[in-house]
Amino acid sequence: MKKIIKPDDIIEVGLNQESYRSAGKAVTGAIIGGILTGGIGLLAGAAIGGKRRKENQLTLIVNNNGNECDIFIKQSKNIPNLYSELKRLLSKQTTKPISVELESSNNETKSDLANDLEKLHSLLEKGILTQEEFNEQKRRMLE
Amino acid sequence: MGFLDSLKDSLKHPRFSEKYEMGFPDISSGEKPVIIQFRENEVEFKLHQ
Repeated sequence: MKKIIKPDDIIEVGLNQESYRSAGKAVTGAIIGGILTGGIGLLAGAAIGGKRRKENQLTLIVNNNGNECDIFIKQSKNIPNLYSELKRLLSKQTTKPISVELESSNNETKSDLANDLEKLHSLLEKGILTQEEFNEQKRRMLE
Repeated sequence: MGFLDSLKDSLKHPRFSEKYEMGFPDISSGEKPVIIQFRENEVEFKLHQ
């Protein structure tokens, strides 16, 4: 049984890092610190012994025949490599969200029109176009 | 892609054996690790035989 995922099937790739203090090591550090130097050593030993550790979780959401499929991988030393490979595949996606494409094309249209209107206005200011010619051309551009 | 090309592609990219949670309903998760084979333009999830 196997499943092949193409870059366009990848919906989301996430990497969560959780930091926590190891309780067991904090207790060991406290005991050693307490024996060696007393009360302050106990606190210092607990702080040093309970050093922060990071736990990774990789989240992968893919499109599986029209259904979203969530995959979580925890507590693995391979997570950074898995994450970088998935990001590599993600960069190979050929499809972009429609909303983003529409937004950018609208912006281009607006900026083109604004530029053309500015150019037209400068022609009016320079006296190359009369007010009537300017109004007529502007009306056509805005239609 | 022919068999040899496919093999070369598989050898060029990393392969992992991991247990995952949730996942594909038709590929068992949890108990058995799943082989995750990356290739140039895809990733394959496969159960250990």
